[in-house]
Amino acid sequence: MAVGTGEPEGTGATEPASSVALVGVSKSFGDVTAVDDLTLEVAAGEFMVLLGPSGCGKSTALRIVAGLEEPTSGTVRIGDRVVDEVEAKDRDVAMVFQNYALYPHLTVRRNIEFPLRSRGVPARDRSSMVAATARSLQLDDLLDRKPAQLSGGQRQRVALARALIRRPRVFLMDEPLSNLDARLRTEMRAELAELHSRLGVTVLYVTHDQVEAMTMGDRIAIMRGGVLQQVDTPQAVHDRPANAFVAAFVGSPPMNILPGRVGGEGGALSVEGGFIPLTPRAGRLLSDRGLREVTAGIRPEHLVVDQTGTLEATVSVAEFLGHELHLGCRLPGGRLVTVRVPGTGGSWRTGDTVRLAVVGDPHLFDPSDGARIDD
Amino acid sequence: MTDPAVVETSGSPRRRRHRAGREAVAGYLFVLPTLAVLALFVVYPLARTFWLGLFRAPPFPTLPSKFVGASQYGSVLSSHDFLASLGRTVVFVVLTVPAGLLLGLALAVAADARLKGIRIFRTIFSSTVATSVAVASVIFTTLLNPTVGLFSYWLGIKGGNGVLMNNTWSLPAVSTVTVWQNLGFTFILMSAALQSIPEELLEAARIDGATAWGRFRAVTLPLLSPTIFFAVVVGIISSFQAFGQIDLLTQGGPAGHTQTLIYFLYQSFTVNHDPGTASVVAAALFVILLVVTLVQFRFVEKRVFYG
Repeated sequence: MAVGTGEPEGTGATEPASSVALVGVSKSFGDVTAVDDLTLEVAAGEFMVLLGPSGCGKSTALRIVAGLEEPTSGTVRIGDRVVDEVEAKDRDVAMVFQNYALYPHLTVRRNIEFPLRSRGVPARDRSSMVAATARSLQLDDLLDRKPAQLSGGQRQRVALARALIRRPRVFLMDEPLSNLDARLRTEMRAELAELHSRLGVTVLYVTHDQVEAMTMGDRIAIMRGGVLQQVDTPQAVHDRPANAFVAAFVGSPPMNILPGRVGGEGGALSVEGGFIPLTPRAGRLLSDRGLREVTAGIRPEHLVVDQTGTLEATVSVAEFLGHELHLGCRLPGGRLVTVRVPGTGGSWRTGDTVRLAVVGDPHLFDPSDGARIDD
Repeated sequence: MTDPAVVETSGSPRRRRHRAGREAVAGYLFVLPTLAVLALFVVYPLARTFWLGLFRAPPFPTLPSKFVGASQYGSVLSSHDFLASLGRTVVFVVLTVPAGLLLGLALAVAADARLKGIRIFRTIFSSTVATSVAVASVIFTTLLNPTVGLFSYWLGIKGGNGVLMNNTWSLPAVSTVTVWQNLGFTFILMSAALQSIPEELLEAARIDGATAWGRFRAVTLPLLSPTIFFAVVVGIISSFQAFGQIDLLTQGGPAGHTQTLIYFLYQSFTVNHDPGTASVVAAALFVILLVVTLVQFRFVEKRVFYG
């Protein structure tokens, strides 16, 4: 089911999208630092995804922008306005919560018009705005129901409608798809992306799901332990991860990470189960830094089963996904690496010994801090 | 292979009837102990009360009671004593239930704030739940004592009979003690209900532009409605049946100004040795509470959101 194609008419004065900036924002809860010196600029109309594992501080950062948390230090700007002292209700942002946060005692109609009532919009205007927004999200037939009578997807739409109705300058979304089943999540992902491109609004979207981040975001900001790791386009994050954490977190299946030693056969990298040949450029990068130990990152699609391969492994598990096969191979030291085999070919069985070849240079990271080794 | 469950349910009609009959017998056997206890301790005493109301007490205790039928119901229910007691009871309910509810709710909202040391206040606010009627009455008898009482001192009352023996102020004074004594229970009730409201809803309302009062009115209050409704129903019943504080503080005085229905019943039975009148009052109290509760469920419950 797709959302209506028309822009919600009569949904209030059309506000231009605003940029959002967090400058040196930190937030501590007692001894725990949830967000550590976060500086992030979101352009007007941009779909920015805050990505990271649970407890990385991404939701806290979002709540700081919303005005639900006060930062311990730092400044938040929405558009040209510093909003540190501005109440949540006056920041002109809308938020979609993980559990939708629909008012259970109110009908869908009253839920959608709640922000308008709170702001004293006259009843006649409210009615037309609710009708237009409900139509655009295909909620027309559900207006008199209570949230408990709706499915997860319908609740999600109501939450979106409530956020959309007053056309705020910034949309904040806190894992809004995480309570939906896999199929609905895929549908809603496409719908949200479409809604964003149609309305041209600024979206700050929090998720721990890297597929959501890759498919929806104009840019992705990856966080870990309250610290921003990298901000870039999905392609750049995937192709040139800033550090080993980002490399392992982004991509499905995740990147294979192998500790290695410089100085193998012909300037190759010695790793568990064999060696990885390096191009002269990669070799130069390592020798310039005088590194002996290095962490190699290899995407599963950059490993191929090949009799001339330089790594030896034993097939541990084979996952058939229809259009491709994920081969879990155990290296002699016990480390598991994943090989992505396109198509449906291959007849490997558990226990088979295979040789793996690395296509191109591996990603190289400094083992001391995980930072990418690059030109 | 045949499914045994299918065979069981598709047996002959006679067999199915037999099984249903056996299940019904088992069901009745399960509820029998409860029914027996209810019959012995609730239904029989209730019926007996209505029955005793048909007998007029003799002028001397040694003489037998006289069956007078429904006439005693007519005479007691239209008597000045009964109507005055009923009026006082209604005033007592009006003075205690809304005030207790509002205060309990206000304290619960105040104690819901995330402030340092708020647990101390929560403990203080809920402490009266551990105070018996007798203790509460003793405390307030002392506080309201015209000679040594702190309240009397603050109110500038010196000597005289004091608030509890004042025709105008005795009922409000007893009501105040009742509100104070019930405050802990209402506070705990409201606090528990407040804590069950998801924080996200209030945050959503904040972002949606609602003021603090707007959030309370539009989100908190409707979600508290089942608890408020419960507190009102229980509070009204409890106030109609309040006895301990009246007996300990005023004994229905001065000059019957704190004589509520329950105290009228008590005095009819123990002081006047008139079980007939007491039974009529008890029966009336039962019917009044039943009607009041049914009216609340019929009309007020419509505004309650159960989730």
